[in-house]
Amino acid sequence: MTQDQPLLAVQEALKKCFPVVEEQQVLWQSALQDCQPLLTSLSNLAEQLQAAQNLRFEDVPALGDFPDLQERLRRKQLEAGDTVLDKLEEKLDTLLKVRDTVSSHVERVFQTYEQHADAIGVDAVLQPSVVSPSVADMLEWLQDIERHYRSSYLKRRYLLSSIQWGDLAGIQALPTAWNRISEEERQDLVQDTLLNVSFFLEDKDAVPEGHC
Amino acid sequence: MAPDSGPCPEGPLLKLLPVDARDRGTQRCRLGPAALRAIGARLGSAVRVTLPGGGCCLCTAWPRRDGADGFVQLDAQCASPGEAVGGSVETGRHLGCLRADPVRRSSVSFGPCCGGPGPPPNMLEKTAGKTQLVRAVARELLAVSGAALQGARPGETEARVRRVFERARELAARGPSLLLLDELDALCPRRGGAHRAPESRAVAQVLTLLDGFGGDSDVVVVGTTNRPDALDPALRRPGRFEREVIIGAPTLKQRKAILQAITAKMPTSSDMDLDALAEMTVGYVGADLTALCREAAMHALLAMEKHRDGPAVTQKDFLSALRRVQPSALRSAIGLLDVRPVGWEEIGGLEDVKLKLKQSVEWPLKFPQAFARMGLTPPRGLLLHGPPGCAKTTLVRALATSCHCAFLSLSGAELFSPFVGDSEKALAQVFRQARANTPAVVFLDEIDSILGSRSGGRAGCGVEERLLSVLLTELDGVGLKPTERRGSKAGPQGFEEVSSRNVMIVAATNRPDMLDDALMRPGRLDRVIYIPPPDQEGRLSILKVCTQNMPLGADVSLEDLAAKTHLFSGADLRNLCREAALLALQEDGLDASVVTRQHFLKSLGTVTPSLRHTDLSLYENLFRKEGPAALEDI
Repeated sequence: MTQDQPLLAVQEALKKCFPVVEEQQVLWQSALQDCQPLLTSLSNLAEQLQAAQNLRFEDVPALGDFPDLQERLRRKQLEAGDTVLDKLEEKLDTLLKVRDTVSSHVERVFQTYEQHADAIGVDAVLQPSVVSPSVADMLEWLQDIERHYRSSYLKRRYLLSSIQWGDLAGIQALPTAWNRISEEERQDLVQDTLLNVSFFLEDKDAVPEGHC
Repeated sequence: MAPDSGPCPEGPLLKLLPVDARDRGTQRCRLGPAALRAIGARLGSAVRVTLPGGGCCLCTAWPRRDGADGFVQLDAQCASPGEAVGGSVETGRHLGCLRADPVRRSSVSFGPCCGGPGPPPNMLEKTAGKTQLVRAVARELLAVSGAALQGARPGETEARVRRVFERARELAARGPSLLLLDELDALCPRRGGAHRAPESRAVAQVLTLLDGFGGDSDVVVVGTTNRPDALDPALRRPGRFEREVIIGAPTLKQRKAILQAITAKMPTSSDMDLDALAEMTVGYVGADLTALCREAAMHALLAMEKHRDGPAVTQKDFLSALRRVQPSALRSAIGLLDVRPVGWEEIGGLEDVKLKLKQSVEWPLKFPQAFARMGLTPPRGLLLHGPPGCAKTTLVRALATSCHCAFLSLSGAELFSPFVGDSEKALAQVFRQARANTPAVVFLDEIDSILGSRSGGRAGCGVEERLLSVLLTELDGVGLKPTERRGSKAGPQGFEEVSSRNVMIVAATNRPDMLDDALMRPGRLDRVIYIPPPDQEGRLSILKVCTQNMPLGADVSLEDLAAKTHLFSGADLRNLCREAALLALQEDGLDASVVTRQHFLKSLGTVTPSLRHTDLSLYENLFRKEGPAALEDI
C-alpha cells in the first residue's frame, strides 16, 4: 500500500475540492439569476432615456413653463441607472469571489499533485477505476471548471464596463448580450463534471479497486 | 491538414493532429502515455513542441483520452508568431492595434488639461460652483460624496473608498477619467485625537490610494470642500492634491455671466438689465443667484395669473425677488440689523457734518469711478465724536439708509462672552462677513466701552485690549486670507471690484480721549468728525423737526425758543418738546388741542441742559490736540 500513499493524498485533495466547487456553483448561479432583473431594469431605463431624447420638449406647450425639465429628467434617470449599476457591481463582486475561491482550491489540488507526481508516475494517474474516473481526467475537469469561471467572469465584467450612457441602444441590448454569454459557454460543464465524480465522492473507502 | 512530423530533441517524432474542439483555447497539447513517459512530463507540465517549419510551440502536456501513442494534438494559436498559420498572426497584430489606440487618443485629449506629461495633478477646490464646474469638464466622471462613503462597521469605509478608486481606475482604461470626491472634509478630517481612529484609517487609505496612482494612469482626483483647513494636512501636498483652486464668491463680471447662463432659458422681457442686477448682487454666490432667478420667476408666474398675459420675467420681478433672497453669506451673521429708515432731512441742523458724512461714505460707495479717476483712496474708517445726545447714532442710521449697503452693527452685548478668545473671534467674523458682502458699513457704537486703550498705562491683558488689537489688524492688516478671495484667480482684480472692495468702519463715541492712539492714525479711523452741540440755527431746525407733528399755538416762536436753549443737545430739545406737550395735556385736560408758548416756557424751567461748559471745552481742547489736519477738516 505504501506506493499508493501519494495517489491517495491526491485523491483526498480532489475529494475535498469537488464539494467546494459544488457549493460555489450554487452561489454563482444565484448571483447570475439576481443579475437578470437588474439588467432588465437597466435596459428599461435606457428605453426611457431614449424616449425622453426623442421627445421635443419645446413642442409641448404644457411643459414650456419648466425650462430645464429635460435636464432634470435626464439627471434623475442617470442617477437611477447608477444605482442599478452599483447593484450589478455588487453581484459581480460575488462572481469574482466565487472565481477566486474555486481557483485557490484547484490550485491546492494541483500543488498536491505536483508534490507527489514523481512518486505516482504516469500510469497510475491514467488508470480509472470502477467508481472513479482517472486522476488525470479529474484534474483536467477541475482545470476546465476553473477556466470556465475565469472567462465567464471576464466576459461579464467586460460587458458591464463597456456600458456607456451615450450608447443607449447598447444598454437596451444588454440582457440579450448577457444571455449570449451564458449560451456561448458550456452551461452544464460544472454539473456534468460533478455527476461524473459523484461515485468517487461517495466512495468513503479511498482505495481504487481497479488499481489494486 | 497533412500529417507532419517535427523533430523533437528528447522525444520521438510524432504526428501533428489538429486540436480537439474541447481543448480549444486551453493551450493543452495531447500526448500519448509513452511520449509523456519518454519526456518525463507530469500532467500539466510545460513542454516545447518543435514544429515542422522550424518554429516551436509552448504547451502544457496532457494525456490523450484514448491513450494512443504516436500523435500530438496542439492548438496552432500557441505556436510562436511567424511560424504558424498566417491568419492568427494577423489577428494578434490587430488586437495590439486595438489596445494601443485608445491609450494614444486619451493622452492627446488630456494634454492641454494637465499641462504636459507626468501624472495629472489632483486639485482641491472650495466654495461656489465647484461641483458644477467639475461636472462640466469631465468625460468619464465618477462622483461620490465623502459622507456617502462612510460605513457603519469598522473597515467598511476603507473598503468603499477602495472600491471607488478601483472603479475610477477601470473607467480610466477607456479614457481619461475624473474622480470627484465631494465634501472631502467629511471623508478626510484632520487626524489625531483620542476617539478618531476610524477616521484616521479612512484618511490613511485615501492617502495610500492617491499615492498608488502612478504616472501612467489617466485618473484625476478632484476633491471639493468649503473647509480646507479641516482637511488632513498630509493630503495637501504635491503628489496627492497637487493643485489648490480657490473659487471665491463671484466677481461682478462672473455674476453677470452666471445670471446670463441662468436667465438664458427664462422668458425674460426686454427691459431686463443684467448689468444693474449683477451690480446689486454683491456677495451673492451661484446658488443665491439661482434662488434669486427662481424667486423672480415665481413672482412673474403669480403676476401672470392675475393679468393673463404672456409669461415674461421683468426687471421688476427681479427687484422684488432681491428683497426676499439674501446672500447666503449673510445668514447667521452677527450684527446684521434691519435699520428703521431715516432720511437726512429728519435730522435738524448739522449741515456741514451731513455733507462730510456723505463725502466720506456715500460718495466712495456710490461713485467709485470718480474716486478712482481723481486718484483718491476712499477713507477706511470714520470716527464720530461729540457730546452725548447730539444725534451721532441717528446720523449713522441715516447713513445706512442712504447708501443701501450691508449694515452691520456691533455692540458690547454681542461681543463679550465668558470664554477667552470668543469676543475676538466674533469681531473678526463680523469683518469677514462684511468683506464678503462689500460694500458694507460696520458700525461700532460706544467704541470706547468695547475697546480698551493701551496708552492709558495699564498692562494690556484684558479682553478690551485684545479686541483693540483685532480691530487694528482688521482695519489695516497685511492681507486677506486666501479663502476670502473674490473670483477664482489670484492677481489684480478688475477695476470695478477694487473700488467696492472696502469695508467702511464707522465708530461713534462720546469719550474720544479714551481711545487708543493707534486707532486714530490715517489708514484706520482716518476721518474724525466732531459733532458739536447744535448752535442756534441748528437748534431751530431741530425744534422744527421735533414739533412737526405737534399742534403749536400761534404765539409759539421757535426762533425765540432756539435762542433760549443754549447748551441744549438734540435729545434735550426733543425732551423739551415732549415735556411741553405733556404739560399742555396736564393743564388743559385730555382734550387739549394746542401747545402754547406758556407750556414751553414752563417746561424750560424744569428741563435743564445736559451739556456743561466744562464738558464742551474738554471736547474742543481734545480736538485741538488731535492735530491741525483734523482741525482743518472739521
